[in-house]
Amino acid sequence: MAKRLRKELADLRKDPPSSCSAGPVGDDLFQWQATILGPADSPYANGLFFLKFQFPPDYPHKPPRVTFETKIYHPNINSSGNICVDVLKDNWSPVLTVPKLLLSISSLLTDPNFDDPLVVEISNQARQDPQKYEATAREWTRKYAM
Amino acid sequence: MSDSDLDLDSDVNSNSFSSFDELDNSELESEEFSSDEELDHYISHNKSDMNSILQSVIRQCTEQKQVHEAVACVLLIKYQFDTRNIPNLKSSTSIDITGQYDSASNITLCPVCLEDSEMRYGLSCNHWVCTDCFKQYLEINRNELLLKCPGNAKCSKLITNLVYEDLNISRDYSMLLMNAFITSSNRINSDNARKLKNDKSTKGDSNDISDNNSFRLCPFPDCEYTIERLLNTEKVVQCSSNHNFCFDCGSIPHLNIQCEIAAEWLALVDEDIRSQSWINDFTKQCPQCRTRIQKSEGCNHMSCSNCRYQFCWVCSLSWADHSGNSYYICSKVANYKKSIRPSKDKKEDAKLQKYIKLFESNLSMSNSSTSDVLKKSYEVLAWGYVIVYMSTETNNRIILENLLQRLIADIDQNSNVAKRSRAIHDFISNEFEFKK
Repeated sequence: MAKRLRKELADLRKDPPSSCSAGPVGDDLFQWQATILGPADSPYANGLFFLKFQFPPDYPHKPPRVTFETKIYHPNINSSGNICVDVLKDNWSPVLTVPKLLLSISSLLTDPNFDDPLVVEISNQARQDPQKYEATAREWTRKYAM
Repeated sequence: MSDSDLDLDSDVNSNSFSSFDELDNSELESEEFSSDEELDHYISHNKSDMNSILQSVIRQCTEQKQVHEAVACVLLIKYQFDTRNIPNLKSSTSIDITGQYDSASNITLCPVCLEDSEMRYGLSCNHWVCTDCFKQYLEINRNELLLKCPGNAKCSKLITNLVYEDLNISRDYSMLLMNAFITSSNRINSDNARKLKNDKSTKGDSNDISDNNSFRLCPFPDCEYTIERLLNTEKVVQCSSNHNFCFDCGSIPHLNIQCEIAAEWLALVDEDIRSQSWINDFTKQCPQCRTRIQKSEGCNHMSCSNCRYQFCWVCSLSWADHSGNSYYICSKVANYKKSIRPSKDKKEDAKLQKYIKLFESNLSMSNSSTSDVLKKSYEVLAWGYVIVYMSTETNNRIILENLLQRLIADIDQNSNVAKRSRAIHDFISNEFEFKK
């Protein structure tokens, strides 16, 4: 299964995606670090967010464990950096790759899923007082991701 | 199919002189312990009974929906064995009976291993994956019952067990299917329950029929029996191997204390005593694939790491019917206001520890008793003191405490009677010789 990771890495180096990057930490092919640039049309714009990828031995048949290492104010990402997104759980498919996952996570930053929140307080705030939510998200981005 | 209290009398009598500690309990027997009324509330099925029930459900679906048996199984699982919800022909046939091999004339890239492949395997959706990757996918997901096509992230085409067979992936499908059947909460009632429902409804009394959750596997390790509940008037059931348990939560019987509270209480009890009572609060078997699952923290919504079955930690039943606000509390905790978590207040904590000890000693007496009446008496004592501890109704608490005291006295007295009669029995058989 390391073969597929090597292949993904080679493809990433050959054709690096815009606004994100990814690669192994040290010699361990099953531990990666990635970055996402906050999408321009979101309160996370201009922030640089670090993520950790831990691949299980049966990858790609099982999803990697992906966590945010940079603090972020988002209804689907909690203070430990855990992300609640369907593609990392029930909707995982072995054809999904690191760049495709980064794309999904990036679109989660643009369009948070308020109906299935991980942090209920943030999602309630975003519904009741969207301006305050966006201001806090921007503030956290400036404080932790720049 | 032997039922709960049927053999109570014979049991007590046949055992009463079998050991020194044994008691003659005919005095203790009360109506509560031997009411015939309860006998019709549930049936204890063995494995082969359950297999015939499941087979008839599958056969019925195959005939009704005019689909292959393998497709019928997938449909049944998808719709939680409720045939009323399974759509007709057109959408049912969208499940392929099995997949197919294809040796591509032009070499293509496998979307899973990202390598060029010659031998491919796929379903009619044409999302081809190389045969090795498809096999690996099935092997790793061998406990999945609703596995999707691996070749495309958006494709929702489901894989039948014939695909597993076609690619020589071995798995115990009948066991998985049976567990899914037992744990499906929306299942229509079996013939037994329907018959009973019809009988009852003619008498204008159908409210107490449970429409769902009508099966539960006996939680005792390796016990083969499954209880089918026909009426949900009584929580405690007994399988044909004489294991008593609460049908609602699968724990040991706990009088009328809510399952949620009983579970919290049992979590405080000494581990040795818990294991005697085959309770394990920190790990639980997934009701579907029986993998041991550990709960670390958080809400009661569990998702099996092995087969992804979604269930409730407290009652082990499908999560599907735990809607709304029940993430942290399974059933209502109304009348018991007192928290049963260890308190910081020293006096309060000492009191709790005292009641835990009381509970533990009675529970372990209950576990070691060989007569049914004694078992139940100690069970009443154990949980009775839990209620004494938790109840906020002063009057009733005092009355209950009194009653429990009397029960203890009765048990002591009876144990003396038994010891004495046993001693006399021994004395007679050892010291007297009768000549013919």
